[in-house]
Amino acid sequence: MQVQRIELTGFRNYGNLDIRVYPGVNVFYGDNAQGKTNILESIYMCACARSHRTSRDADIIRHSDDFYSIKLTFANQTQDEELVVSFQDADAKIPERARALRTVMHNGMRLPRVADMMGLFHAVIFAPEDLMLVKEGPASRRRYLDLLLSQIRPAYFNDLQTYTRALSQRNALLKRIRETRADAGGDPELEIWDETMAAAGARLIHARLAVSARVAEIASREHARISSDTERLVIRYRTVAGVKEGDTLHDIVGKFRQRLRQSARDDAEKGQTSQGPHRDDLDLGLDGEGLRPFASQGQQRSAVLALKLAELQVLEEETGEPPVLLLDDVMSELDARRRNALVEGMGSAQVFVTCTDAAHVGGDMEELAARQKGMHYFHVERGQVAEDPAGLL
Amino acid sequence: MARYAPTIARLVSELERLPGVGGKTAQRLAFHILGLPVEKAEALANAILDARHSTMLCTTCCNLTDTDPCEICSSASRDRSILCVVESPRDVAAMERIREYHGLYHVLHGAINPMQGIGPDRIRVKELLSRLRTTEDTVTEVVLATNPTVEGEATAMYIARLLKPAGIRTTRIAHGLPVGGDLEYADEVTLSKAMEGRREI
Repeated sequence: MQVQRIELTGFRNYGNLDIRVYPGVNVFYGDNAQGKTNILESIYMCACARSHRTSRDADIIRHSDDFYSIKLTFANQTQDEELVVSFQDADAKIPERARALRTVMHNGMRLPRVADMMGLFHAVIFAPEDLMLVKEGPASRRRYLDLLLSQIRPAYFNDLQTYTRALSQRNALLKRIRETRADAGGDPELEIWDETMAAAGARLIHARLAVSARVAEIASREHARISSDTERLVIRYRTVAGVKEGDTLHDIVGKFRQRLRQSARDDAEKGQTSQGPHRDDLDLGLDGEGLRPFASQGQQRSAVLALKLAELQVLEEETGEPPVLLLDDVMSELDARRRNALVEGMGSAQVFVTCTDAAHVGGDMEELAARQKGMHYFHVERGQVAEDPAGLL
Repeated sequence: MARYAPTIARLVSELERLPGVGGKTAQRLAFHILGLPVEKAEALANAILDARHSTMLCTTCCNLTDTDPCEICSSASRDRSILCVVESPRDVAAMERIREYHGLYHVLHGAINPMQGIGPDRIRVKELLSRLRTTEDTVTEVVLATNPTVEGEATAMYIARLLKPAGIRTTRIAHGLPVGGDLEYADEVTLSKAMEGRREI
């Protein structure tokens, strides 16, 4: 994947931006809060349909605008492609616009669903937010798996939407059962939602188990190279009790359905569904100890980097070409050993880097730049991007 | 709106309540109507009133009709052994356009949707069951043609389970590729559903 041109309208602090970028390494440098990360964010949104920083699209629109649009021109192995992702905020004063409108255009054709853009463009982002993977709750790790799988298998995203919808419906019904003090055990309407959730949920679990095994293998290998310690990184997908790796889809449907049935009364009491892929976790451990409570800053960084490198490799294996790499101010956070591991892991991918000091990155990535098709510098200042042929060097 | 005479303002605001019609469109429609000859405007008003006054739900299939039982239910040429269950009257119209289906219908007027407080009791499932139980029609197959949405699928599943003890053959319409289209332009979800639903030829 190779991005050729980025056009932004009303996106974050960009009123209008139109830049051409290069194969190899593209460095965006400048002071903080000038709009460097926004460029990486816009590229990432073309891969995953959502931002790595916020789930609220309205936050992304520039203050003086009421919509944003990202137009990305890129080449994959066979042809040039164009993707336009735009979002028009809801406006209560205008009836036609009572609802927010999200549109995705692929090569000039409007896609019927946002989900249809999944898999057209691939990118992996390394950002300070990645540390949430080890520091925060299971949601961030489920999101990691969901975003990876959505890029590999477009149907996964649809299963995820179906599951989420069925879950909301089941929860709404549970609350109603609780209010009417009815018996949830054997409720025929509840069983329908159990069935719907089991079918969609099992597909999520099945896909996550498979990709987690692959991630575990690669991340563990990468971790051994990065970490100066001798600890081994152990990763395991933890899901509905009784479901294990190697189960067929059919097995998982059966087991999950049974769990939902068994917990019907408890769930009704709580008014929500206690088990399922929406509660699952990707367990991270060092030599069998859980990672979070005891890990040092360095251990956490190593684990996160190993996970991200695994994401990169799985994506490349599955799609047959390197995804675009987005490095948001991460080089300065890493020590030499981890930086080397990262640069090695990049292979021949096109890279976008942000930093405050261009000279610094130049040094870090010299080897990479030499291996690839050169480095190109862009100076970012208050929403203006200027290509700087010489760099500030 | 203060700049219009009250009667005009009333017309505009009534039109604005229609689905898909915003303020601008409502004004355009209102002035179009005001520009019509009186007879034409009366014809429009009467068409609305007549349609509203004379339509009701068919007591057999729950479709919107102006005769009870409706034309389809009372037709002698329909196949009374097969019954197609749909969510809305518009779906009946869509099925009728294919001119291939000559069986009967049942309109549910919605799908099960707990988030909107719509349980099976709020759509016309009861009517379907009592119809199957009491009718002299000999229905041997029920085709579930609810929408391929999460709620539509759940509704189909719910009805299928209710019908199981009665021993009536229950089928679900297929998901798949649009005919005459190119495989490469099909979206991934539809394509994978089509793959799942493959059959021997």
